[in-house]
Amino acid sequence: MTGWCEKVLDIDLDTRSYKTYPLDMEMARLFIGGRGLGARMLWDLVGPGVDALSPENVLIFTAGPLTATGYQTSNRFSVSTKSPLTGTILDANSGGFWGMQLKKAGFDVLIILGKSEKPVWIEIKNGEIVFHDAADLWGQRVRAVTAKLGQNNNRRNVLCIGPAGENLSRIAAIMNDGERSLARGGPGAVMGSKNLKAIVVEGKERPEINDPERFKFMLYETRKLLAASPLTSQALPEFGTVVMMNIVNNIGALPTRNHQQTQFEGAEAISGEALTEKYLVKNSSCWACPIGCTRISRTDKVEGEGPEFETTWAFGAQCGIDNLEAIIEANVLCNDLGMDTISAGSTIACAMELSEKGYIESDLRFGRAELLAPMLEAMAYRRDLGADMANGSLRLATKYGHPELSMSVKGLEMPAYDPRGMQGQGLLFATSNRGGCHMRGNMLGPEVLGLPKLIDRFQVKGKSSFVILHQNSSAAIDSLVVCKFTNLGVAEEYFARVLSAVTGLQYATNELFRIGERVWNLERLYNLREGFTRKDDTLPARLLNEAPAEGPSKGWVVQLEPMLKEYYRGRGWDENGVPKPQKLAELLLADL
Amino acid sequence: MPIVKFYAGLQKAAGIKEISIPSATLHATLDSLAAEFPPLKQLVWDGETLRPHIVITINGTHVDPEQGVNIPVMPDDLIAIFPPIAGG
Repeated sequence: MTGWCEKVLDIDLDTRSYKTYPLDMEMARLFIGGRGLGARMLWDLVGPGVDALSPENVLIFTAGPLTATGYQTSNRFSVSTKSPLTGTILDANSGGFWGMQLKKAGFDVLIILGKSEKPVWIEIKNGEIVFHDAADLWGQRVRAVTAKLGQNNNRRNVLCIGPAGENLSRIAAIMNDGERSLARGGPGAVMGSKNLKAIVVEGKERPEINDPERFKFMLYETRKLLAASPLTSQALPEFGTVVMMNIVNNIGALPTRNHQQTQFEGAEAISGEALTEKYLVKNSSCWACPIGCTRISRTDKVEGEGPEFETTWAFGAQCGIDNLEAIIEANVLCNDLGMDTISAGSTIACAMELSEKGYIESDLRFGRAELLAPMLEAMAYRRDLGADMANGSLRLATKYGHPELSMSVKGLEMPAYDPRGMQGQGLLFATSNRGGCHMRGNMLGPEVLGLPKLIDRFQVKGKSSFVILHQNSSAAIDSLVVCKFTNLGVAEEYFARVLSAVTGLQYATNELFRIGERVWNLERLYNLREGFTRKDDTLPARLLNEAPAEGPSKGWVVQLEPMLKEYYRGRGWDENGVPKPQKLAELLLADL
Repeated sequence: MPIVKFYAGLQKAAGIKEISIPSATLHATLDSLAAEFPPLKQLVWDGETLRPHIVITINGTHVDPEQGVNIPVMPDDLIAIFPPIAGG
């Protein structure tokens, strides 16, 4: 088959050895690459009860058959592991250049096993694997390490952790190409637990394409479609993702001050419009991406990529902060320390509420923008209260006697949509396999933007079918691996056609959705095997019991129970959320 | 008088961020806006139909395009108009 390199690279840090072997192509046919392939391999490699920060956990970096082909947004890659934050299966997904380079180095999959006795960094260059002592890098921040190891555009690409990962912060990110991140769920801590500081990749190969003429036509079609869509040709390049701030706030779905309110009076000051007007230097893009949603922002003190909507919300409305300069600086700092901005911001917000209510002794208060940077440093280096905050909001809030003040699902801090204003989003968060997350399907399209069609965001009955569709689609796209923003202009049918042209296998559109469903169910099985149950498919009590007192979502709480029952039925699961045997047989998962 | 707020690319198209428009229905409001700011005819409202994926809210509640725009508008209403946008 073409598209894939058909090669796996295993690196054993215990012995500082490596081996390469053929990729199981039957597995690849069923799971493609990226998230899907990573999940399937993780099922075999990390059994139940493994401590996520022990040497028995692994890091599985996966590209896909489209990666490095030059298809639009074919730069993305995944890392799969067991999350030290949630204990669930985890995959995180990043853009930039590193994933493309892994493919050029000749590998679909890179698996990191064991633990190095001392800090190490790995160089993968034109088929050679070299282990380097990382003593002089340990303790250094992401930008410095990235530069020191020779990051060079699309020729040599660096993936590394910062101090947060080294100090095993459970919200630590793995950073690539300087400011791109594999962030949610704490994969940086897994890498830190292995004493692995960085992986640098250089390669020259390009994946083989089965039908180059058809592939060229699909490139042309996709280029046309992305250029024709105002979403991908105007809105995202001009304003970036922060353009979401005003609309989500307008409808009363912007979590504010640790989800105590659903509208933020300072939203316009931290919007995409404000960022473009005052701080934007230019837009930028990942490799082979014509959309260009990346911001390059500058204040008097810093210049860097971002911030994204989620980051701006997390350090902004969630913390009651309307100082966009402070938010931009916090984003750059958080990336340099190597932490998930969503979890970091929401954990700070949790600490703010704990502090204001007198449950912890601290000068943290909502609105205190000047404390963002010091708190991020304290979290990355585990100093003072930062030592507790480095473990995420649920462990923080639990330690101080109030777990209900963590705005998380399965331990992962929720993103910038308050489900009391978007019922379907609530179901989506509650059932997400990696915890509170909007990248496992997102009801933003139908419930807020009218994409493809507006549905009543307060409607409960029938909502689960949309959620299931979005979850399956996102799992399929994450397995290709391409950027979900491509899907704003290009329907899944096109992905099936491109995949067929590249691999020589005939994938129909429904087969892609079936693969997404397969991946979703496999992830579910993994979590069930870890001991997760129906009771973990829930939301914080605040969202279930405390209705906003004002604004467009006034009076609403999430009606989770009826949606969940309908969801389980729609998924072919029993009333406890366990996939039924016939569903597993249908998805070719019966042997797991 | 109802207030109309523009967002994202519509701010540049209209040249302003917000305006007060005396009108009793959303239809009349959109007609006035299109007359006052000709680029909005292309981008928002051509006199009969809303452009695809335009989002309009009144006091934070979506206007359903399928229900039409002959909706009464009150003097203290806030009408927000968003062009096609996306994010994550």
